[in-house]
Amino acid sequence: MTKKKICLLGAPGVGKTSLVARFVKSIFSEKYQASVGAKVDKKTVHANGGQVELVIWDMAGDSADRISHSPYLRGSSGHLVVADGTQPETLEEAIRVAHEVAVNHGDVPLVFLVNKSDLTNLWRVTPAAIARLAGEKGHAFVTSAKSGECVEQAFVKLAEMMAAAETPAANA
Amino acid sequence: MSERPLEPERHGGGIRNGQPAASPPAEDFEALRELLLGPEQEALRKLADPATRLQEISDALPEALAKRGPHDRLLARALRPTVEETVSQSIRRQPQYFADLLAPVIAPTIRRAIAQAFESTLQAIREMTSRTFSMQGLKWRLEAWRSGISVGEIALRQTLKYRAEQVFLIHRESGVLLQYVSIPGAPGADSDMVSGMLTAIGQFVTDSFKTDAGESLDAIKVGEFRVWMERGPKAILAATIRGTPAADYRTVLQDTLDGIHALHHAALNRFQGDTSAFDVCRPELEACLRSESSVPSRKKLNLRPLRWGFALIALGYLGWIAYAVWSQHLERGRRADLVKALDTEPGIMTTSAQLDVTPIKIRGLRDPLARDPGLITRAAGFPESAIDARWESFYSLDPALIERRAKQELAAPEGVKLQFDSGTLRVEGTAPHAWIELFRRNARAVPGIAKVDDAKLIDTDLLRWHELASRVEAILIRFDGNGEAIGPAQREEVEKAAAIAREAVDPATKLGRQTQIEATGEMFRASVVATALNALDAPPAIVRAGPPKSGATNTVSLRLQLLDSARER
Repeated sequence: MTKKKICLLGAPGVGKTSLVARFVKSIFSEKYQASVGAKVDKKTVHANGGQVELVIWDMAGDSADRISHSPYLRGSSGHLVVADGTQPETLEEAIRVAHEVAVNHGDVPLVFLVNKSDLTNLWRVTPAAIARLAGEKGHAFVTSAKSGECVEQAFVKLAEMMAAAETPAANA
Repeated sequence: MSERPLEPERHGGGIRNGQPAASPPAEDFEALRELLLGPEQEALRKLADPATRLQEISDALPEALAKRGPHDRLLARALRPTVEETVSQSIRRQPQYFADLLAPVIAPTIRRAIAQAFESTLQAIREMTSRTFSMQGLKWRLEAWRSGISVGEIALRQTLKYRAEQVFLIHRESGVLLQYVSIPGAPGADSDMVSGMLTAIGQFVTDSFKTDAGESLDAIKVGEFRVWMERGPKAILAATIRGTPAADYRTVLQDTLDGIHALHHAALNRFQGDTSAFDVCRPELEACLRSESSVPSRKKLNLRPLRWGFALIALGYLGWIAYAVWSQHLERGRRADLVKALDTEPGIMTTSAQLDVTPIKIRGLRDPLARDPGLITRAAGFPESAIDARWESFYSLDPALIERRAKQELAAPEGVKLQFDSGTLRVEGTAPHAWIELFRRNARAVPGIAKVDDAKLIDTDLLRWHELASRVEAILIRFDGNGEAIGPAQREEVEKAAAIAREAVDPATKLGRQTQIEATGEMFRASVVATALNALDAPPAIVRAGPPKSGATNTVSLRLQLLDSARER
C-alpha cells in the first residue's frame, strides 16, 4: 500500500487538531488544547482508484516563518493549510505559510481549509477572500470540524493531488 | 559500429590484388585505414563479438568473485535472492536428491539436538522443581495470581536480560514506516503512528538542542522499555526492547541498516510512498528480534512483613509434605502389620505381598480349617476392596490345626477331651466302646499325629458291665438249714440276679463279648440255683463246686463272668 506523509499547517487555534480528530476518529471536542511539536495519526482513503494510507502530522500552530523552517515538514508529500473563518487574518497567514513552505521545502500538493463554518454568527470572511485563497493553489474548502462539513473531501482531494503528482515522477 | 568490421575485409582483398589505383577515393581511404588501424579494429571487433565477450567474462568471473567476496558482504547480499530462489526451485523439483545428500550431515545433528532437548527438559524440570519450592517461585506465583499473567510469562520476564520485541524500518525524511516486524503479542500502539512519532521526537530533539551534525536521538527509555534507533542516510532502524540489551545489539542494528542501505539504495532514493519494495527486508528485520535470558541472582532473604506470608506458605508446603510422608509411613506400617498378623495366624502363610499398591496384593497358602483371612483383614481395619488376596490350600502342621483336624475327623463324643502336644494326641474322658475302637484305628491317620495316649480314656460299656457284675456278686442265695429246694425266698433272690445279669448282656455285647453266671457252693444246691437261673431267660449259668463266698455251706454265691468271644467260639 502507498503511504503518504501529510502535514496540517496554520496559525494557532484554527482547528488543525480538531480536523484530524474529526477525520480520523469522527469525534469533536469544544475544549481547546494547544498542540506541542507534532502528533502523528493515520487514516486510509480511496484516491484515484487505489488506497492511500495518509500519515497525518498535526503540527503545532505557529507563524509562517517558524512553520516553514520546521524539521517536521521534511518528507511531507502534501500540505493542508488551515485558516479560521472567524479570524480573517488567519487567511493571510495561510497564504504566507503556503509561500514560505514552498520556498523552503519545495512545491508539493496543497489544499486550503477555511475552518469553523459552523460558527455562522462569528463568520467574518467573504467569499471573495476564499476565492482568492483558492486562486493561490487551486483548492480551498470551507470546513467544520464540529459538523464534519467538507473535512473528508479536503483530505481526499489532497490524496488525489498527491497521487496525480506522483504519476509523472514514477514514469520518469 | 557492428557493421563496420565487414567493410575493410571487402576492400582489403582489392589491395592484395594489386589494383589500388583503380579504386575510388573512398575505398582508398578505407584501405589506408585498414593498414593503419588494422590491429585496433581487430581488437574492437573482438570486444563487440558476444561470443568473445562471454568467453572473457567467464574467464574473469571466478577471479572477480574471489577478489570481491572476502572484503564485504555486498556480493553475498546481492546474490542471495538468486541463490535462494535457485536452491528453492531445485529442492522442489528433486526433494529426494537433496534429502539423500543432507541425510549424513543432518542425522548426527538431529541426534545431538534430541539429546540436548532431553537434557534441557530435565534441566527445566530440575529448575522448575527447585523454583516451585523456593521463595522466588512462590513470589512469581503470587505475582501471576495478582496480575492475571501466566507464571511462565512472569518467570520469563524476570529471567530475561532483554528481548527486542518490535523492529521498525522508517523512511528517514518522512517518518513513513517502510517495514515492521514484531514478536507475537508485542504490545504497543499502531506501528505507523509509532514510526511517525519516533521520527517527530528525533527531529524535535535535534531541532531543540541544536546538536552537532550527525548527532541525533539514538535511545529512549521508559520504565523497562527502551527504544534504540540507528540512523542511515535514508532510513532509520528502531527497535523496542524490554530489559537491558547487550552492547553488541547496537552493532546488529547498524549492520542490518547498512545492509538495507546497500541493497535497497535505489528503492530508498525513489521512495514516494510505496512500501511494498521493502517487503523483502523482513528476514533481516526479523533477525533483529533477539533475546537473551539470564538466571536471576539470588537475593538475601529479607523477612519483611509481606514476606512472612511467603514463609508461612512455605511452612504450609513443608508441613503438608511432612504429613504426606508421615501418613504414607503409617500406612506402610499398618500394611506390614496386617501381613504379620496373617502370618502368625495358624494355618495361614503368606508367600508374597505388594504393600505399595492399592489394593494390596497378597498371595499365600491357607489350610481349609484355618480362620477366614477376611476376618483378620477386617479386624485390622482394611475393607474387602482394599485387599486383593489369593490363597492356595494346604495341610498345616501347626499344633492348633492338627488338634482341630483331629477333633473334626475323629468326631469325639461329648465327654471326651482331645489334646495335641509334641506329636502326641492325648485323649481323656468317657466314651462308648465302639468310638474307642474307631479312635484307636483312625487317630494315627490324621496328618501330624505320631503317638496316641488314651490312658485316661474310660470305656463306658465296660464300666457299666463291672457295675452290674458287682451287684450280682452281692446276691447270696441262702437255704434254710439243710433245705436243698428253691423256696419262695430263694426264688426271689434268683430272679433278682437273673434280672441284673440280663441287663449286663447289652454292655457285654457292645464290648464284643458274652457274659455268664457262675453259681458257687455245695454241688447240689449250686446246681439247683443254676437250673433255676437258666430257666429264667438270663445269661447261661454254670455250676462251680466249692465253698461259697460267704463261707456258710447252706449258701450259694453268684459271680458274673465276661467271656472272650474267641474263647466262646
